[in-house]
Amino acid sequence: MGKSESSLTRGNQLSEEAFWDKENGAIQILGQRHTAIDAQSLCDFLDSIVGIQVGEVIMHSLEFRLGKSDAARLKDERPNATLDECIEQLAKSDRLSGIGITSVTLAGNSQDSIRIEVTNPSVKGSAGAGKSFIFSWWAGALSSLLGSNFDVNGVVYNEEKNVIRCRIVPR
Amino acid sequence: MFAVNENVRWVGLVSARGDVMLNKMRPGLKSSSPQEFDEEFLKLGPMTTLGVAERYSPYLQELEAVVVWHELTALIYSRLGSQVVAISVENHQGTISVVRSWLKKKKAELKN
Repeated sequence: MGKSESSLTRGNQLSEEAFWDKENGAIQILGQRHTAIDAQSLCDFLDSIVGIQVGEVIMHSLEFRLGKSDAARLKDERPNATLDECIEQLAKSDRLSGIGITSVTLAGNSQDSIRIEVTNPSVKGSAGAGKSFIFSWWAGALSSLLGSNFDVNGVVYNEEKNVIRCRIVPR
Repeated sequence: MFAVNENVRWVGLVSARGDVMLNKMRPGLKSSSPQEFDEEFLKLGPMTTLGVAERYSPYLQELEAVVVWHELTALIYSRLGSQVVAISVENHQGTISVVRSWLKKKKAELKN
């Protein structure tokens, strides 16, 4: 195995940090290869082609699936991690990947309504693909962690505070 | 839906969230495509096609339906309330007219 392959293999393991292999032009987060893109432009473009209603569903379909698989991989890698530890690690991956600063609040033991707040979000839409970009991934991740399907509800962007919030609710 | 016209071959129904609620071939008919493919296509295919066409709605008023002509069959996509319906019919203009009338009636019922 060459040096570059060795470096990439190291990045495949779930890491506390983003793995940025500048020499080989690769970024890995939660063990997956990523590419830094202008996510707001991607969402805006998708909305311009199919409209905000369909853009939201397309992005939801993608991000829900990705969130589910990312959380499942995390659980496989760290079977003894508690729910809080898993959520903390997933929130950290948001920060590492440039999504923003994410906090997740579970209302006691109740899973009826989980609040998620992202400060300085990379995508600010409360409608269309932008609405699904951040939170559908969380709906998928929490569906995997909690073993039942969740959906995104009540997405609101506060421009003054540059914070986007939503509730994750049982489907 | 199958009672609307004997040339209706297949019906699919998808929720506003892209969940497949119905994927049903007329009993006794053999589908030209695998059921798993239909299931996967239904999630986003008809909705995306409608979404693209609906970009003209501000200028041309509400979109009734999208008709896709294949050699073997014609596919009709339309919104019914918050859901999306996909209907496959024998490639026959008369059947498409019948289905179009049925869709108009159903849409009017849902609006009332």
